[in-house]
Amino acid sequence: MASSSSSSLSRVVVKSSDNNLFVVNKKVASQSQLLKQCIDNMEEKGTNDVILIPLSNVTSNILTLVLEYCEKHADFADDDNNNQELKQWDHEFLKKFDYATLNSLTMAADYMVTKSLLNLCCQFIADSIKDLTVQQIRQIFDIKNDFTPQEEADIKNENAWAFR
Amino acid sequence: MTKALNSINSNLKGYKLEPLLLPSKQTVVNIDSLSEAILISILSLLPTKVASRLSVISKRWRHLWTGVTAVELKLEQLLYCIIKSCFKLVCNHKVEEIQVTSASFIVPRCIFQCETLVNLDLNRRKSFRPHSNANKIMSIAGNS
Repeated sequence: MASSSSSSLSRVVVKSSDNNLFVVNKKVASQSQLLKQCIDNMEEKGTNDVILIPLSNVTSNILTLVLEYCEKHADFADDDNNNQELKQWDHEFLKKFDYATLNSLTMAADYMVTKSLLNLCCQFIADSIKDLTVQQIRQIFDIKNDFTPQEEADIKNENAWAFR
Repeated sequence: MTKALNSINSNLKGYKLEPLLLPSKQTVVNIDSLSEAILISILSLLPTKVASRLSVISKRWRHLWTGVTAVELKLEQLLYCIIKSCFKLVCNHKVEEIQVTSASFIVPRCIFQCETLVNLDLNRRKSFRPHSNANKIMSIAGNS
């Protein structure tokens, strides 16, 4: 933990893109490098006001999830012995979400610079698309195939080793 | 503003959703809306063969897989000279970590001359003779 002087605040207020306010414990907020940087900057200025951090890219339903993750990980921040329990929790945490939520969560983790959550989301998405066919991926994620059949065949030829 | 927030601050223990204003608008977000950097991290976690197959998804995905930061290849029944040139290629591309899982594998010399290599894992490989001490971590797990 960073050193905390007597004047520093124990909580910050985070505002979601849809203008909901979240009061967040500083230790929890520090799981996000973006929030941590904001807090550090404000503390350097020696402010005694409540710090309000607006997040213009994160909606409140997604922010709730990111903060749930940060809170859990802040609890475990000081001890490595419970890694297994935390991993289990991570898995159960992500398992609940549909792809749309998972993708929004991934973007939020990237924006808020919560690296461990970003890695976790990427791994989860990779695991879930690993065994899908290209057609299935297009269907599930509603991606339009903008290749002509000829172009698609050319790419397959070019990387023939991968399609064998 | 500060006063209002102070009262919220003193009333709540941890974080809590304050449904003060408009409910959030639910927008559909799919994998295609992720940034290229994130998509490349996802592709890097897949076997390289799978990642390269995804180049036919759409034009946006066409070259994404060529940016992967990890390469996982299965080299089957290849001549030693081909394996050697594969390793030479990765060593020239500033590789930091190499893992080999093969029972019979002659370690090409270029691996030991690779200056960027930090982690060399010759899993199941029992004996070899390093040519340089540039490697910082080496793990040899013998399966007898």
